[in-house]
Amino acid sequence: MANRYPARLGGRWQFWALLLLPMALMLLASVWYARPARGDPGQQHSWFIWSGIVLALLFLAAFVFSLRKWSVKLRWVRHLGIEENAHPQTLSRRLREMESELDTGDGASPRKLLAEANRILKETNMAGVREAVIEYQATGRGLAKRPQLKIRRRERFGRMNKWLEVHVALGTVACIGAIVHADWVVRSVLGLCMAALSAIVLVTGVFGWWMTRAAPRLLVEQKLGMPIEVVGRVADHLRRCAEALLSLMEPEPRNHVAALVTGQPSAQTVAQVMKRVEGDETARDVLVLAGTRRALLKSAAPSFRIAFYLRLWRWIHIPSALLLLFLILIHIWTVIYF
Amino acid sequence: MANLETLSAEQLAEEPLFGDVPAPSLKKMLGESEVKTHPNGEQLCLQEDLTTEFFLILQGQVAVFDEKPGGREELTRVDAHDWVGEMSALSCAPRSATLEAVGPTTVLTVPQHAFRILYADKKAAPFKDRIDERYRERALANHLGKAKLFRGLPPEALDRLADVSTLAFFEENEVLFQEGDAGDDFFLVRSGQLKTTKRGPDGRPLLLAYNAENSFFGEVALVRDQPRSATVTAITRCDVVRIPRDAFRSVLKDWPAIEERIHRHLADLDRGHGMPTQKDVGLMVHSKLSKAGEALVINLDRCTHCNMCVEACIESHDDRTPRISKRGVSFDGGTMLLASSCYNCNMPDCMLSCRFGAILRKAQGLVVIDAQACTGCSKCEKACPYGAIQMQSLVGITQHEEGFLAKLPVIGRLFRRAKEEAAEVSGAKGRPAPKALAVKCDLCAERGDMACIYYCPYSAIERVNPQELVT
Repeated sequence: MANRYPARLGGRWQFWALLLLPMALMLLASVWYARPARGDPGQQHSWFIWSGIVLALLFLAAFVFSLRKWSVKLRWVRHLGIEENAHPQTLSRRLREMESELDTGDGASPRKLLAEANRILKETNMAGVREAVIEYQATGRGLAKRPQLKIRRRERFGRMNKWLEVHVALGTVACIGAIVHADWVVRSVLGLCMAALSAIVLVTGVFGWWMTRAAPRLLVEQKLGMPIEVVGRVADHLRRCAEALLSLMEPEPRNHVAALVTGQPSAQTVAQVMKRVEGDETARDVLVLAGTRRALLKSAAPSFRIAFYLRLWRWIHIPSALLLLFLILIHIWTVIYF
Repeated sequence: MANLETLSAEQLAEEPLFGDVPAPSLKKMLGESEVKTHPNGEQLCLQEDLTTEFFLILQGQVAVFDEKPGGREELTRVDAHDWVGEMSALSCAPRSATLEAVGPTTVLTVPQHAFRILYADKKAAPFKDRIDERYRERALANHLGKAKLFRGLPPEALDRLADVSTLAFFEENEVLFQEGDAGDDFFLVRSGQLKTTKRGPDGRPLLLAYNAENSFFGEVALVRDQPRSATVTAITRCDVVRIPRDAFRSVLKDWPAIEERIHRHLADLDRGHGMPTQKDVGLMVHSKLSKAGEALVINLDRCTHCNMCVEACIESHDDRTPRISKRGVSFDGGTMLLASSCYNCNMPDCMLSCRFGAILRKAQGLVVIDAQACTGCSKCEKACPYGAIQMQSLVGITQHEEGFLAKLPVIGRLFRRAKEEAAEVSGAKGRPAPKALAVKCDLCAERGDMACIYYCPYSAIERVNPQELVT
């Protein structure tokens, strides 16, 4: 069953090639070029320039992942290539007619219909975001393949798991490469800050990688019985039900019971209140709802803790990375200016 | 039939199939149907297609082909005033043969919903009787030859079985036989699913197995000459072939290879070899998974709950309604979650419940909702066993709520949604404009790749056939 899923992060050789090859090249360059160049300001300067350019590109490549992740929310990315006077409704209607035509094998050949589909795409100004393809699919086990007209969204950027692989591999190389670029010597406060931030970004990133592998398993082992996303909603629903019942009660028992609905009372307090409202069915229902809610939150607490750690590293990783990006820009500006 | 392009209900009543059927019922069906002339060699449908239209040949002839890996074999020809396609229209089963026009052929193509309305119409009982009779003839001859158990039987044996066999339909939850009943018949499943249960030591029913297409049951009582050892209940609408005890036994007697096959099967049954576990059967039956085509399965061993799948789903649809929900049944030790998303069922309850033909199944099995034909009656929402259909209100559909990023000055326009064209939903075929539309996962048909799978950074989501979960 698990074989149905693509390899997880770190499970493909391409990832390790992307991580180890640039790192090895960088370390080799450091030994062969930077070390003999020490003491010669001209040669050392050229090392800083060239390794700096490579490093800047590596950091940029690692940062692009964040942009890609955000791009799902960007209208202009989703609609890249779409023209102002595009007619998606007209397109879908006309293409649906054509598709059914091809389904039944009416009239034109697949090639002719593909040409026709492309013409409609152009006419409706949708050619920039949609593409027409003919796919041949088997109609059954070992039977003849039949053509099908497919209209697909043009996907220009590739799957997100590949982007994450590139981000992790090149980000790791860039963080380690920062030290190599400095020729293993920190020369300024800015350099010290950048080295420290690179180390933080690297450590939090590695921790995040480990967490994304370990935390899901830990969450499964909690056997919560419901998705963690809905626990809050269920607890909220139970609280609202209890409050609705409370509003039906007389003021006297209500004041005693109300404190149990949202608070964290001790077992002794609960026992006292239960004794007071003995025989009151509404009060009993409120107590059952409040108890269920509390039990749910208590059983979900370990899962919430794991989910918290699953996000915690990002609260350090992302601001540190942004600060590092800012310092890199200052560093590049100072190099160019001075 | 003089002018077929302007076919009237009166003209249609002259067809042998529609004799004694009241004109208003025919008129209603005709309004939803289409008269089409197919040139020579054009295919009406392909074998294994999942289309469900019914065809009445008005003029010309249609050849019926059995597609085989090595080539095709012509089974028969259907002449004018005869009909084909009733098996798929009744049971949603895949097409059992390819239909091809021989010379210019005029065909009345009746969509499944219109066919089912007429079939269920009590005033049109003669129509139902004729369809049932023909269905029995064709389905039996067709099915017995293809059944795994009878593979290799000579034609005379199959003919002998076909002569005495009958075809029976069962609705969901209908009991075929009870534990302890006398065993009179042997059953072959043609379409649909059934469950086998037995009374446990505590008197509660114990789930033993589920029977899908092409499987058989009822053999234990016949071979061992004992009462029924279990109860069999339909879990979906299903049709089965019923073979009487004597005919079944005589075939076993005359063809020892079949008898040996049955005995080997019974021995496996006793040892529990090759049988799914109790848990697997429970998963298939209780979560109604046996109906499903392909399920969206989240690997919880990888899912970091980043919600990227839901966000991608929202952003990929203009109405900003997510088609995926992380509520669902978990299995495999809690590591796999069957998310609530359209499964494109083999026998879609939503499609069968729609009286307006707004839910269609494409040749490759994708169940789609036609927004033009949807009336917002919400019957499909109630019929879906997985809660995968939701009603999207059309009130203010063009004024979606924008996120806080879209409200930012200057850069906010990058995040704002484009002005969408108003949905073309006003009163298709003279019906009043709906207030809501049914929406469900369309497998991102226009993307070519599903957004939830495409955008998951941890490769934690896949579409899987539920049958794979228990094998």
